[in-house]
Amino acid sequence: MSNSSLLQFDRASKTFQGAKKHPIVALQEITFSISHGEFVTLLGPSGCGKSTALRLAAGLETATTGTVLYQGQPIGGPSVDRGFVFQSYSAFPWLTVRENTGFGLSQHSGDSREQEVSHWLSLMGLSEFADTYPRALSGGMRQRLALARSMIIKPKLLLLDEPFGALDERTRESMQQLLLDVVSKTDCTVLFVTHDIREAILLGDRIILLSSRPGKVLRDVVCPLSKPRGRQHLRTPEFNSLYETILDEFPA
Amino acid sequence: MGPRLQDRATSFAPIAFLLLAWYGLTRTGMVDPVFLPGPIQVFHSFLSLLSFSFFREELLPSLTRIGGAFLLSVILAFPLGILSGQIPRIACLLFPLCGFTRYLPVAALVPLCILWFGIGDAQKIAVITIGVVFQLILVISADSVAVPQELIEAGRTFGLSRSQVLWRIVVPWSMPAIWDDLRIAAGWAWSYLVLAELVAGNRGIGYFIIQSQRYLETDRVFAGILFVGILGVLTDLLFRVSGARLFRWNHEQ
Repeated sequence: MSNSSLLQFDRASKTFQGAKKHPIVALQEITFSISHGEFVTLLGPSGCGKSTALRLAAGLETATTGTVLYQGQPIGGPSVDRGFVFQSYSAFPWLTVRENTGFGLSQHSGDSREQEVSHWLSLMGLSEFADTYPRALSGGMRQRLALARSMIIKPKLLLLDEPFGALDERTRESMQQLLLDVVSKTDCTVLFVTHDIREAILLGDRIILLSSRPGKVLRDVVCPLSKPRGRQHLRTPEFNSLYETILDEFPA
Repeated sequence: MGPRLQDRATSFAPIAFLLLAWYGLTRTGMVDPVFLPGPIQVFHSFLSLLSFSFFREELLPSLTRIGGAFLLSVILAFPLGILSGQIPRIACLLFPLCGFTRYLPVAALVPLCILWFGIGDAQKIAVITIGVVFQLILVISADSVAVPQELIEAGRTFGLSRSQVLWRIVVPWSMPAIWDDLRIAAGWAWSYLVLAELVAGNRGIGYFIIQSQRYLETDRVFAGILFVGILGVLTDLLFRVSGARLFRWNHEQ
């Protein structure tokens, strides 16, 4: 066990009770660890348990067997240290965009809080929507809001569950860029779940490929692309060869 | 005629038809006004109700009773409904009881309420509360259980405790639906109020109606019924308008 690892899965398995008490093994003995400051993408086909792995890291679920450690300690439940961006739109509909953004800062005092909220709103291009309710926002804006709401409390680890899955191609691309920009300005560690191979390669410093259910780690590769990343990488030979390698192994 | 105007005309037609039929029937002289007074006579009686003494003697006691009973019902049903929607064990505790008691005919409980609480305000408040509170617990619980899971989980990832999740996520999310339930419950409350006042009266609108019937002042009976109907519609309106203002996030397009 290396001391620098922030998050560590050690033969973690998760079994759900399905219909008629049939156990469904979502994850089977997955082992990997993530170091401080890494951006790791967790890639796999639909239903392979990658979201379950993320929920274990968040503390929204507990492992059936094995352990998930955060900073060397077993995860007992959710914590402000570990931010979570959901696949579905999870803005609080009764709060304005501004209030949503500041939700996690509620304990903080007035002035600095207002400043921080304004800063994040402008960073995410949401300033002019600050006083509208989330239902008036497009899908891309809602996910920017979700990102702002999670990032504003400066989590040490940011967990994202296919956050751009429901967005159109162009919006997704700009969101990927925005995420890379925002994360590069912090020392935030990221675990990003996706089923999109291109997205996984473009975003990740490391790509962990999971098998179909029950999810097992098939491959753990370091991304060779230089930083800062962008769409210009999509046509490079490094990108293509990694893409082909992963595609060959990608479970049907 | 625009489509909206057409809708309005359509909505008004049955009421107009009923009024006309009522008027026609009483005009022919075939019906004794003791059984069915004409609409104009009823209207005059209704206007005569709009006096300070009626408001003080009948309306105020009724409003106090329904207000008190409604408040009591909400104070009981709101926390129990919210909790039972989120904590299965509390639902287990309450649902069989509520599911059964809400089918007990409230009218049949009136004699017991008289026995236990006399014929004063306490009896009225008891009848209304028994009629309203069990149903209200169940519908509020149905609102509370419908909170999207990802909102609750989002709250938890911000470090909210279980009780903070209730206050900061479950309650605000359910409020518009609960407000709407309260609007409907207010309708039940009016019925139970009149029922309680009819059978054990000293003052109140229900008492006024039954007294008028005893003296065969049928026009006043009608006027009293009409008065309750209008109060009901006003209560409904109050909830709708305040709901649309309080929960703009849920209404604005």
